[in-house]
Amino acid sequence: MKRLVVKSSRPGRYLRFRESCGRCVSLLEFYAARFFGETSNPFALTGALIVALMVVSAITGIAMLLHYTPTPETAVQSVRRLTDHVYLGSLVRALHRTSADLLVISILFHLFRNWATGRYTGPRSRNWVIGLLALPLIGIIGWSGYVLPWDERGMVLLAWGREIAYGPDQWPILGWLRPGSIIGWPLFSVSNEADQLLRIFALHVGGAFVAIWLVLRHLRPGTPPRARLPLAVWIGLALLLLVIAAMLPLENEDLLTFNPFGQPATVRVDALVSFPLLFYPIFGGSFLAFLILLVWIGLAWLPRFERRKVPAAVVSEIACTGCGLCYNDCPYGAIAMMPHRDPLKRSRGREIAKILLRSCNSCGICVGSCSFGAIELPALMTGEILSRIEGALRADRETTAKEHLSEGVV
Amino acid sequence: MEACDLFDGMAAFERKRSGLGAGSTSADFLGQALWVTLAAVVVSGIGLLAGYTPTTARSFPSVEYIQLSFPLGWWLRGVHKFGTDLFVILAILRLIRLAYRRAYKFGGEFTWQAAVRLLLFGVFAGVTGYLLVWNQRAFWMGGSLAEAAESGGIFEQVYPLGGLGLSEWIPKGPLGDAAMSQGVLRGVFAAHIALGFLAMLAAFYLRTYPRKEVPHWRRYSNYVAPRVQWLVIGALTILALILPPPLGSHSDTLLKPYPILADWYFLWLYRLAEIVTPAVALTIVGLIFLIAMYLPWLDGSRRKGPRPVVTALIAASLITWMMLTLEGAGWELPNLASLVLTTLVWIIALVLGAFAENWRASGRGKKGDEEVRSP
Repeated sequence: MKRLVVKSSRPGRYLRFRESCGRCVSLLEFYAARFFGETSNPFALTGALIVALMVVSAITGIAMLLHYTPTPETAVQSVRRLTDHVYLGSLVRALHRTSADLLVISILFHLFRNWATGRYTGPRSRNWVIGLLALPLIGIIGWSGYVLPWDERGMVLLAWGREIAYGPDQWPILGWLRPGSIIGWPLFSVSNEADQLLRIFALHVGGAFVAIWLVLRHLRPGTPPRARLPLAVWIGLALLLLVIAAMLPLENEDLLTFNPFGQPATVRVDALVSFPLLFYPIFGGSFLAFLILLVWIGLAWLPRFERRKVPAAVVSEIACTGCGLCYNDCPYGAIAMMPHRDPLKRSRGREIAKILLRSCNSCGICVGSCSFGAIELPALMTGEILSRIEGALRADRETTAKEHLSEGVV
Repeated sequence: MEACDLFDGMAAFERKRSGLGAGSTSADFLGQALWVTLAAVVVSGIGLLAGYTPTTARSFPSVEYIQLSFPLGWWLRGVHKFGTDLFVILAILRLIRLAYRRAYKFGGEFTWQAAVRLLLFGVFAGVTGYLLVWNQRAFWMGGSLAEAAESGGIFEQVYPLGGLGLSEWIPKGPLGDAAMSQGVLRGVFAAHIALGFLAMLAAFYLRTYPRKEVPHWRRYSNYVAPRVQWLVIGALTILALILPPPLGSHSDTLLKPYPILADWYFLWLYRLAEIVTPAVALTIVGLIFLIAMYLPWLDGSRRKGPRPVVTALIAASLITWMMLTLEGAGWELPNLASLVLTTLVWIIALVLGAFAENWRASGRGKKGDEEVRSP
């Protein structure tokens, strides 16, 4: 307890900009809620939307595995057969593409919303970093999905990807350490075409495993957030996906068989999945790798710029009886019951509450639940804590306690 | 040794909580080992994807290539194969422990269901994985699966609309028998990967939302002791070194394979299908699965004590399972009557033992059965 109130270390222009963005997002949510209704507002359910789109991508992907063969000779033919001769094959392929595109859109909006409304500081910084680990992985999965048909566009994108991966080797000083070769080794150190395709395939399918695992970790801290879409939004999402897939069907004309002797045709890169590739013709591989790394580090560093406004709860070792009331009430799992520090009390099985600083949202619920006055939020007056608890109760009646509480904190 | 405290995962945990057992950190060996094993299987599976080609012509050569010349391929393949076996063993042991500790009630209902699902996904992922090697054993097993699905035709006659037209889904060869084609291989491959996803989700549910029976359990639910990790990975590596997973020979559709043994966890099913008809065996399997899934609700007692009937039933079914497995593996047991008799004797013994346990627990007072700590 060095300082009771820690001021934000960068209160200036950045914070004002962020808060104005946050106001815009809140306004958007407000008007969208009038249209969609409070409980089924997709602008407030961006995370659940991402989970749903990942489910759609996984199911359509497994359906496509029934017909795709990852060998250089047969890949294009198998995709063509899937499009032309398999019942609903073209629809499944279009759905896979569309859900991946919508996934990227909703991930970017989710990122923007949680940044603008300040939901990345304090206890949420862990979720922020895990989400940022999943973001480039999903981009790479999208890129490998375009390489998998092993057609002309796939070959061009493969070459671009290789240049970006080996790009760090061209950097001025760090390039001496050959970081790009280390990054590119697991994917590109192959002697023949068949192995290269299998590596890309393993990246696409195995990367999906890792991405799902990361998203599960991202959802996890504290209590389970709203990861489940209401039925109405599911139906709307399915209709949207079907309409887009029907309006922009995938044609076989996209699949030009690779001709090593001809000039590559104009390659239409899909704008959304792995959108940084759009900048490849402008910047080249080396500088683009640098830019991607810079943006990523900047985003991952953001939680450092803001500290929590209200310090975490504090337990009095003398007054705490180890009853566990606060442990049972804490909605964030931020309280642990530990053996008491005093050896005599410990030998009798006496416990004490301990605040896990990384998880504490300073919501004040534990202060209200303690019957012995042993836990408090030192920076807040009693009235403030009471109003917070009342707000939490009200929010619990209305929707869920967690969302509103965390909005009140950061 | 506390790390191997298989059937009383809570004991070490409670000692640590009360501060008496200094340095004991392992609360739940089985759960941790299950989690590490699944992680090892999934990671080695991703590695195997980089070398495996799911086509009839190239899958067997690609598995050979993985085993012999892919970087660390022998290790990946060994960990994947023996990891699945270990996974099934651990999942069964964990289910037995959950039942023995009556942890499928009082907040543990969905944990129990997730554990049952995990076992199911693991077993089916194992079967589909054996088919992917595309050797004679895979050919034989595919034929057996196709026969089982064909017997689904009988199943459909017994139960109208029950089999969902399963027999029509099996691709037919020129002579009308079930054919092992490219389509079957790709379907099995897709199913294998889908089962991997499902197993991962079920295991994550099990680790993330553990039962609420014991307060403060949540704190330890994500913990994996390093020694458990090293034990599992080390054991799998040693197994992969001294017992390379068998390759067999390339699947030859002209050479009808001599009956090869299935996975050890399916031997009981083959034996059961021999004793009764395949359709009845499938019905029994479905019933077992349904009962297992809804056991927490079938066992309606609200009493927090030992559950002698359920414990005895589970033990008896376990004994029956072991005996059928031994018979399926070729052991000569006298006959079915002796099997039933033995099982009955065991059930009676277990019921008596469980009642004795119940009596002992009630004599000691309720302290051991109530929640571990009360405010």
